[in-house]
Amino acid sequence: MDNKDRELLMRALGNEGSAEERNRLAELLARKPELRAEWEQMQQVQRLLEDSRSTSFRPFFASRVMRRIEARSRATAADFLADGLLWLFRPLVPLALVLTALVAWNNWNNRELLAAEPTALEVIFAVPPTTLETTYALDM
Amino acid sequence: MEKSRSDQKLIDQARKGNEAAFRVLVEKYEPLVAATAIGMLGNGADAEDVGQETFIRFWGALDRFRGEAAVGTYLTRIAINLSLNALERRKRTRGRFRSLDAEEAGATPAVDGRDEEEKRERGEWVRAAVAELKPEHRAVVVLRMIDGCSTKETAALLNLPEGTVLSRLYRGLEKLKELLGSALEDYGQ
Repeated sequence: MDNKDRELLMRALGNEGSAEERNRLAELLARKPELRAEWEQMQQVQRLLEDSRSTSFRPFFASRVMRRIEARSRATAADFLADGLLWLFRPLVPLALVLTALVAWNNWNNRELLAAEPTALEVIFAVPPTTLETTYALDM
Repeated sequence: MEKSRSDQKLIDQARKGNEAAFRVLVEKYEPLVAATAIGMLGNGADAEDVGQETFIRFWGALDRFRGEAAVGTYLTRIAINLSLNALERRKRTRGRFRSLDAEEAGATPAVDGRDEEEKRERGEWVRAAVAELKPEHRAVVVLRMIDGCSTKETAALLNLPEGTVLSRLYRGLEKLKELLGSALEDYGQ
């Protein structure tokens, strides 16, 4: 069987092809018994495949799809809010950094107000050093 | 697969955020997507995932969906591509193991009975045989023989020339004939 015959056979399985092609196939099938046998087997395979067609997933498939879509929509809304906040506050970042530097500089200049021997970080953030003695004093 | 006016109406409503309208589309096209996904991947979790993802992607693409293709064609295209991706993933992760489906293909259930149980068993057995086909042959067999697409539609869905579709279909059916074996003769009687 050559490629043309195969194509003819495959098209005929889907009821495709012109009247001329269908006549040619009928003629071939009458002339070649081995082709007729193959054609019949192909039709059986086709019927089996058609009968095996599954037309549904597990029950409540649509509900599962809609739940996932709702979850995705909620996630999208949260992303939208986060993007909005980012857009709103991003321009304020340089100003915030300048203010932080000013406060840190002011704290550094007033470090003598803190108790003796604070660390650099304690000075910058104006945090009184935490010692056992100060804790005891607070507790009193 | 033809365009439907009611589909367009439902899509317009879904675009405005009407989830109930989209649910109607899901229920309407579940059989089509199920036939593609289960035909390609067997009746398991992978097929369900592909089915859900197909509709979720459709939901995400509603604003871009212009209706040049019928909804059914559009969904089939998504489902077949996702199924092929899933097969590729399966090949990578389970390369060393024969699938359960393939093992089941060895057993030949009774094929001459008429009750539902036998029909279901026969369906499982045929799907297991389809699972033995190479992905490129399987896609053509599923679209042409199970989904009922024409050669032209199958070629368009898979971006292949029609001649390639027909030759892959022939090879796929030849392999199925071999896998289905003697039960095929019983079925034909």
